[in-house]
Amino acid sequence: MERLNSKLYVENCYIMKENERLRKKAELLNQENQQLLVQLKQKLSKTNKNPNGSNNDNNVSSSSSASGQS
Amino acid sequence: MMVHTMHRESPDKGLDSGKYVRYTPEQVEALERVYTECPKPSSLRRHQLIRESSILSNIEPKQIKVWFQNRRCREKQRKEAARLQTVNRKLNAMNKLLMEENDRLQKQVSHLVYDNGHMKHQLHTVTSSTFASGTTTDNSCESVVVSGQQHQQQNSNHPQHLQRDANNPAGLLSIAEEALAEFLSKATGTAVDWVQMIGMKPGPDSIGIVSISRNCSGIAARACGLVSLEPMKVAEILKDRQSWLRDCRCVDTLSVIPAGNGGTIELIYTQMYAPYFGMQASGTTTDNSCESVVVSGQQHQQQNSNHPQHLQRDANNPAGLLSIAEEALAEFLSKATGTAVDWVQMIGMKPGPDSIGIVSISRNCSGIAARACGLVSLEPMKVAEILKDRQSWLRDCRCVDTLSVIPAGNGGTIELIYTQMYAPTTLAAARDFWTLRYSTCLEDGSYVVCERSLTSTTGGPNGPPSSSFVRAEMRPSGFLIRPCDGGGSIVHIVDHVDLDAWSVPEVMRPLYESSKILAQKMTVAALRHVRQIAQETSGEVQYGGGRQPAVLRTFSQKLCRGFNDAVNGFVDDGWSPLGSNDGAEDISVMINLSPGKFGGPSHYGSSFLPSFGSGVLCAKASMLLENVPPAVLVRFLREHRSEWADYGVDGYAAASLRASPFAVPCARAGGFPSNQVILPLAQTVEHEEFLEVVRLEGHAYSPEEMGLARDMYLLQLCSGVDENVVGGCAQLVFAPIDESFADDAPLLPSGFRVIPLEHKSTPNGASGNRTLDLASALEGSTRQGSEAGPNGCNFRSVVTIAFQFTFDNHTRDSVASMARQYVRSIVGSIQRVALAIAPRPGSSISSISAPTSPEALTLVRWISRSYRVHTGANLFGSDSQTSGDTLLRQLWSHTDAILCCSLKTNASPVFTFANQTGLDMLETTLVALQDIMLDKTLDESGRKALCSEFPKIMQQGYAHLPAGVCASSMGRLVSYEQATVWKVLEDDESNHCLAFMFVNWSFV
Repeated sequence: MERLNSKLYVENCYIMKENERLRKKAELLNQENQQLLVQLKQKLSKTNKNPNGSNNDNNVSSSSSASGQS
Repeated sequence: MMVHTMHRESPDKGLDSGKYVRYTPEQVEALERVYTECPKPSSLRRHQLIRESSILSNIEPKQIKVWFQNRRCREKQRKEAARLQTVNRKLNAMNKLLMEENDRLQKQVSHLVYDNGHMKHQLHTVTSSTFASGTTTDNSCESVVVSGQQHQQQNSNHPQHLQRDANNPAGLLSIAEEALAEFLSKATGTAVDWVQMIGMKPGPDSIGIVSISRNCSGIAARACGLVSLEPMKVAEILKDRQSWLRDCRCVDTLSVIPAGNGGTIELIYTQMYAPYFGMQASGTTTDNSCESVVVSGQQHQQQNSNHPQHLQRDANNPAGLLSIAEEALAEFLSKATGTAVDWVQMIGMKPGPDSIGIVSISRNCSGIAARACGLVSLEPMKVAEILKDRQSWLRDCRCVDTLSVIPAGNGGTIELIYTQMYAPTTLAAARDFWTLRYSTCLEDGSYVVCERSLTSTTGGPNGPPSSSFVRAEMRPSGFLIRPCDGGGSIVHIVDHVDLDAWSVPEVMRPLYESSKILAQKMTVAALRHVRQIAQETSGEVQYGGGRQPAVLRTFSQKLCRGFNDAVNGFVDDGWSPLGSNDGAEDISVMINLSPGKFGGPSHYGSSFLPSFGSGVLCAKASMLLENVPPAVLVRFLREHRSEWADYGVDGYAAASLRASPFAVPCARAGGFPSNQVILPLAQTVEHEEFLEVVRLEGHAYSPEEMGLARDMYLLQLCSGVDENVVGGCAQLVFAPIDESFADDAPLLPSGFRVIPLEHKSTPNGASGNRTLDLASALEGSTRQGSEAGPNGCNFRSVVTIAFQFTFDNHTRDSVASMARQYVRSIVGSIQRVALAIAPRPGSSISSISAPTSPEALTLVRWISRSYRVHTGANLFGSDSQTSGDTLLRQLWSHTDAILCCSLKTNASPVFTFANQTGLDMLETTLVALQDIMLDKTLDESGRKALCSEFPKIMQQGYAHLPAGVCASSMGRLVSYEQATVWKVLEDDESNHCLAFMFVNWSFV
């Protein structure tokens, strides 16, 4: 039992470390995604500024759906 | 270790020597009876046993002895086994929790990876559309196609597949659903270890994101890209495999079965050409390779909480309330186990069996949120019962009124609840909540209680009006309790509130915007309380004073509550302000002439104040401190009562319990140092709160009051003194109590609360002055100091002080002025203490000025002269011929700790003087230094070394002690490389004191 417990303990430690790593990874990805989102929005607003007549509606809808991705 | 007994002489029982004694059940029973009374009977008792008990009369005393030894040993083993089992259960549950967390994180990561890839791709597409303007018109009908292609995992020998009756449509549907799930986890997740295929173009005309498998069973590839076609069209094209797969010889759809849910199941036979001659062509039936196409439009829209649907809801009818409740439940659950809030882990979590659990706090969310998840060894319903009784564990909760209870129809209950919360300081109004609470069972057997505010946006009846409260909002919060294998529960707690930080003064805002403080005060407090009760129930907790844990907890609650009542001074409790005579408004004084109403409208406050004269008076103040850790300050106030307390005032407070007349003293802090002895009563499992009795040793301070010189007792609650806790507030609350310590003793608490104010980001607070003028800070912080603490320790805390006294009609004014003066002097003492214990910004800045009295100058001269005379070396390097002020400054700022202690034959040595480094080492001030005894500072080996060197010091004048460890007044360990001790001689060569120099010391 003693051995089992220390095995469990070590395993828990390991999962915690693993979780920590995942959390960091998620954090980095999240940051990257935020940046990407900003870029995307910028690009889209640029596209919108392009005088392109009837395309405006489409662009607005695509930009709003993109922001829903976050 | 079992002791084996040999039975030598009982031939009459037919036992040979060398065999175990066999006891009859009756004998065992008799022995067990004795054992329960006394597990270790004396030999006298054993003999008596044999004489008195007829059943045991034929057994030898020695064997009886062995039986008890074995019995004790068995008991020990059993206990050990039980302990290990408990630890094992906890570890297992912890393991389960961690695994779940791991699972969630993995999902989160793969989701993020998917989003990431998707956005990258979109970015490229948009870029291309910027340049080729003709394609933008197609944006509206673009779809994202994710297809898992050609994943040829051959697992058709799976036993489960063989058992399933695939001839009936339901069996096929279950295969299909399983395939779908597996496919999706490959398409958007990490069910396969995907690596991006190299050689892909990053530009706008890239085909998409292509990944290939690595080290998986079979081979796999996936692609994700945008096409300008309708989803159904895309599906149609892709399904026609022959049209695009050149190696596909034929695709025969053998049967088509409607799946019932609108989907279709087909059984397909496909033949593939061999890529080159000599390789056998393969025919695969695709029942087990995942073949499905998911076409997803961009539907990750976040739920908007201000959805118009809320406004239309008629929340006055139960169905309307149920819909609010169900929505709150869903939102709560997505916070409790999901990522509806951006959670970050709060503290370094312990992995072991003693860990409280996993605590997370919100980041950048609207309002503040905290969640905790932990294990308790209580049944779910018991846990729910405890947690629902918010007043029992939330110290800041003034009252909870359930205004109506509505059965929800599905077995759940909806309650409408009005809650009042105390303000933590005198600087902001208290908060209240008007909430709907929904308790129900979930399908998986777990019990859930969720709660949210009813506002104009949610609909629902309006709550009771409140004048002295600011209505705060509770976002969906609550607790989820899941039964755990082998007993006990896993509890998830979420608190999410918006405390309306904008309505408090700017300087106080961090307190209302800190998710860490929320976590400590509510979320973790709830979990701690449940665990505490669980441990008490299982009998793991040892309590002192022979009191029941519940009684001691009631004491703690009464102290806290009384202090909160004093700080808040609610009108409906009977408090009214008393104007000051001297015009100064730094201290506010309130009186309460109807102390019968004391304790608030709750069952925790008893009508306990018949003995409190004609009224109660409270003097209170708040102040801001900079760079003072709350835990250290409160610990100091606790351990060095004489630094701030006045014996006379303590005496007055104590006398009011006895109804004997006692002159109102005039307050002088530190005027009469009294010895205090702290007797611990109880502490919580994690030692974050102590209940104790403080005995103040009595001494009369004028001859005519000799009769009153007796010991006084204070019941004291000290919490938050663990420096490692993040965001905790520290508190020292005490009330005089008479010697009877009756369970229902009346308590009139006074004390301090120190709350850290998290620093937002601006590092431009003044750091030179550690006590700030609160008035100017409240006006909006106009200080221009821009020098932040060099070691980044620039933070503020707010200290709230409240002292309560009883008075009679004719003494009202004198008590008021005494209380005002007393609190003012305590404010002064705290400022002094704060100055001494704040970490010094850099060593060069001398933040406390050296004492400059003539006595100090003389002492310093003696110290350095004696050092030179005895050792032949100079204390301050070469040029120490200087005298007076320079010498004093040199000694004061010496980098080693130099301390002097008294040299009396009849008393144990106490410190009399120290330089700045010395005060740092002992973590004290010049005044408090004189209470510190040398014996308590040095450790055992240090004391021994000093004793053995003492004759040498007396003869030669000095000695070096080896490296060792000593303790500061706070109990922190200090290691030093060497200590030099020398005899300080006065001008006439008589012994004055002993000087110590601790070289190269550091905190351990």
